[in-house]
Amino acid sequence: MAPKAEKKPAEKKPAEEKAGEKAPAAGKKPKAEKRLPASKGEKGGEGKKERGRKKAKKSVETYKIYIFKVLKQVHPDIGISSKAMSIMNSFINDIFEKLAGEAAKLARYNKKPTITSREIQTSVRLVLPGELAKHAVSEGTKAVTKFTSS
Amino acid sequence: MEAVGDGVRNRSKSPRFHLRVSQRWTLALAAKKVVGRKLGGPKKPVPRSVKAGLQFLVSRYLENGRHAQRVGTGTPVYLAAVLGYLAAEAGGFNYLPLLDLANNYLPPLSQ
Repeated sequence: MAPKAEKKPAEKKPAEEKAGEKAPAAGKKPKAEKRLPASKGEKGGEGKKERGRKKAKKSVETYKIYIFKVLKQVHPDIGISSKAMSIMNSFINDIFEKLAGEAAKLARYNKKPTITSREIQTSVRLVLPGELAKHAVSEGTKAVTKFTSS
Repeated sequence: MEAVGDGVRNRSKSPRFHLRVSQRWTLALAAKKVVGRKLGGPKKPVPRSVKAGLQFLVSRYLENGRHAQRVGTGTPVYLAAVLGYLAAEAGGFNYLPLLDLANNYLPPLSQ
């Protein structure tokens, strides 16, 4: 709990600063450096690993560009600090591992080698609480329906 | 014929199951043309994120053999939708008490 308490005051200030700025700060080097591997990840197509194009640099895969896209959908005017983005990235990785692990367990219990969207749906209902699970199931079903019909 | 017209006009609308096979196929072709046109050409491969209308990556993270031997077609689409929804929840809306800690980092200006 101590590190979390420390993080709160440090992060509120950069969030307030960036709220004024519409464009992300180009002057900050760490943020610029962090974005390059993410963009390489996107160029790599569907998240294929080990695709270093320039000088065989290993690409690092993150969810940061996608989190940014979702943020622009929800609040077009708001930015996000690099530490907050790292926290969101860790959050997505954590949820992914939980859902995938639960789906793998379900597949094993039913003696089936395949994880289908039905396993993911059941995992969502088991892992997420209450209304969150309901809305997540709705979103997933909608996406699969749209994907199938396109 | 009216159903086909309605489907073509309202592009976000997905075809219903009670439509006939030919009508569903026509709708699918129309949707493909629209998506292909947006990307600048029908021959280009369409990413699955665009097909499903998602921002998150429809990826092969599940297919490394760590979780199961086989993965269904709709599985990464479903998972990407759920992760995208959770990112939006944690990042934007502010009505769920279970995500109070995450919401503190990004206070929304409205709603």
